[in-house]
Amino acid sequence: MSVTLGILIALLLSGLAIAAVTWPLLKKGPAPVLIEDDRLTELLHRKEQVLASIKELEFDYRVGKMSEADYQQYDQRLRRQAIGLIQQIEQVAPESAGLDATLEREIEKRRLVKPTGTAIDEDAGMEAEIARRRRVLVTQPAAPVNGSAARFCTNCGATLAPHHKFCANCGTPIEQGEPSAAVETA
Amino acid sequence: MIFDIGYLVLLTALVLAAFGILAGYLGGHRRNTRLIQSSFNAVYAVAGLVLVASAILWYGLLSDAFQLSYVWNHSERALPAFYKFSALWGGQAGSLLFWCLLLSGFSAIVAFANRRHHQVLMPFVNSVLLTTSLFFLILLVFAANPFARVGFMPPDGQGLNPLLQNYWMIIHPVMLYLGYVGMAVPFAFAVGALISKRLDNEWVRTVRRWTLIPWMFLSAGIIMGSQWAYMELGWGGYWAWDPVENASFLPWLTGTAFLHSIIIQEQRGILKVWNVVLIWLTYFLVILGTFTTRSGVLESVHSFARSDVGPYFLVFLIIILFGFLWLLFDRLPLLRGEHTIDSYSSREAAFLANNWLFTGIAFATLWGTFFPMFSEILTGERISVAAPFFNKVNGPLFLLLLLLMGVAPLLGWRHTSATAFRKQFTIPILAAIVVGIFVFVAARSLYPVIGLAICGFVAAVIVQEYVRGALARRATTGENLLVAVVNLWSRNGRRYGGYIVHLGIAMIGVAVIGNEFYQQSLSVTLAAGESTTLGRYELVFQRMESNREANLIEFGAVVDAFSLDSGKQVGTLIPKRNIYDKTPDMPTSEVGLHMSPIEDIYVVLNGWDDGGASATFTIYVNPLTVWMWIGGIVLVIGTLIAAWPHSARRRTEAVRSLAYAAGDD
Repeated sequence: MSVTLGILIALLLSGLAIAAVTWPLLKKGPAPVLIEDDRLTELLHRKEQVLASIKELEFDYRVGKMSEADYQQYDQRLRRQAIGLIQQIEQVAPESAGLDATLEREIEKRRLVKPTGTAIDEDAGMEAEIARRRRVLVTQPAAPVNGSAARFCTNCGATLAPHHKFCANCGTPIEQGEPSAAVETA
Repeated sequence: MIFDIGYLVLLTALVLAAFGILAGYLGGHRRNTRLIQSSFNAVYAVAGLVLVASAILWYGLLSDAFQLSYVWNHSERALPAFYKFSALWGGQAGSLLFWCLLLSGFSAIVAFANRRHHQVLMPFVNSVLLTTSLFFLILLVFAANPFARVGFMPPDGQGLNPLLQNYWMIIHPVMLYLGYVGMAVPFAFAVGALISKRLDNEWVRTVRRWTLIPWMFLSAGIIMGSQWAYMELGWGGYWAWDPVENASFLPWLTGTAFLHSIIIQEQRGILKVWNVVLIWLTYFLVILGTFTTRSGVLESVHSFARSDVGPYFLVFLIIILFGFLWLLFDRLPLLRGEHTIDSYSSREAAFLANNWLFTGIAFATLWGTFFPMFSEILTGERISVAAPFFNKVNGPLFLLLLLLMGVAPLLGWRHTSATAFRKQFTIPILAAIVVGIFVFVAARSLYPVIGLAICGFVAAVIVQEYVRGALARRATTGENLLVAVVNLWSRNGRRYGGYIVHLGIAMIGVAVIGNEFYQQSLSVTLAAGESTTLGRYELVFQRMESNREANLIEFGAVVDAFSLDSGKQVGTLIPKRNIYDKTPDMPTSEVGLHMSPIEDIYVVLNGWDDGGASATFTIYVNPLTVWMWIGGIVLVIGTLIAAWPHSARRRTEAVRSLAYAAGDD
């Protein structure tokens, strides 16, 4: 009795197995094709990796495995890479980059420890900084590079051209080399 | 009848596995979601069918179906149900079925866990895993049918090999198989990445956890095997470098190297070729290990010729060898490194040295293991390479490895400056010197002093790493130190769990050194009431006793152990001999053991006269051996910390999944 039942169950399961494998192929119409942007996926992976490396580097530095000079050098290098990757991602898929930023904000929100800027392996500070730099890059695409700064009048706030000696709006004299109201752009 | 169904179920599984391989390959190539779905379902179906077949064989074993030749050969009526259950992996056909069961189960878990991730890789991963399953199904269907019949109904079975009637022997093969089988998963991802040309860090990051878990099983399996050898074989040791032991150790060596070298690829974008080669070697050694233990090729090349499964394995090994190499050479241009090593005083350089040492040990062990076979083929004479060869070659390499285990964590990635170097190394070196002096005072010999000093160095490094990590966290987050340690695990489990694993390895190192250099032994015949001394102990033989069990008679000698220092009794040891009804000429030994953190007293009963008036013993004092088992437990805990999943890592996946078009349904 129980043996017959066993046989029935075994046969039933075999039938089910065959059905499960063939079932997806029996559907009508053209098969949907998996769409995945290989380039985008690779960029996202690399970005993730560079962010992780920045975190690891900072942690190593804080527990004394790196000298200050080495840390600065490698940190700068990695951050440049991260920004480069983010820019490429924005070119390949702007909507994905936006989504990425949303996700990053979401993660920052959920973080238990408030990012103080000195948080060790909380990547919040770092990611926020990268996000900030990116926003600057996005909103001021034509900003002058080479470390030069846009200048503003200390009296009325109007934008100053590099060669101006007086503010075109209110006439206040501009002292050369006074960076008090300058904003770094890169 | 039901057993014929079992065979049919295996046959169905074979066909579906073959179909699934094609579906996965074509589906992955054309990115056809229906074919891909079919390949996933094939993975699940094969797992289900192999489970049904295993259940039928278990039913046969538990219901004493001696018309099956497997049950007849590996069970008997009087065998306790526990051992009837474990007899599934006690013989060739059954253990191949069990292998296949674990493999297909693992494959189904991998497929299910990744059903929405890595959509480009997964169809190929399914194909590779199914290929391995297909190979074992071919063996089961054509060469080692577990449902083959005797042709008549024997009244009773021939019994299970007495050596296997031991609780360690129930769990140890399961652990080893889980480790073996699990290593197919990272290999499948590597091949999937090569085929799909997705050779960025995706596969490496994914397999990290899928490698750690099998690695943990493999490590636990090896340690349990040593425990079994220590308790059952009764020669005072735990590791003899015999071919079957080496078969499990070889993939462990390359797998451990792989676990370390993928970290370099992740961090620095180098060693891409090396990593696929390492995991391929690991997988190859897994299959080779199964082959050597199942075909008898290492006992004698002649037994290989008589083995049914041998030729199948050989063909499969050749396919793995050349198939992979062809694929690798074809994809070589895509595997260029993104960077180079900046400095030799960097963590990646230390990791690289670790890789060389691991592969060096693996090659020496492989050579020593297969040397008897080559010598028999070439000269007709079998020349075995014994334990001294392995110890002489591998001993110093292991010592270097142990040293690197301490050094590497202290170095930073890319470059470590002289100041950082001093800051990191001062305390651990002082600790090593203190341990060295302490050991030198206790026992003046060179190697153990060096070895134990290095173990002390490693332990100090780990403590220092934890303290500095926790202090760094406290400085920035204000957590107390205990919370900080827990957060080190959850934020950077791989590193801090890895340190716990290192601690476990250092403990095992301590046990090996203690056993290798300070073991004392003595063979002696004692009349009842007589005593002998060894080391710091006096042992008194009291009497013999016997005990009837279901399928065996147990003979035990009661031996009381006293400490010579205090005169107090430390314990009673009962070394035993078990005589099995079915195999009276193969008595097994059960050692009498008293364990302590300092040393074990270990007594083997060799024989007795005049109905127990006198008995012959071999007595060992094994220093520090208990640390091997404690180290094993620590290692498993560390691996679990390192492999524990954390949700934050799912981020990229979430981003990416939006880049997919919706599927069928």
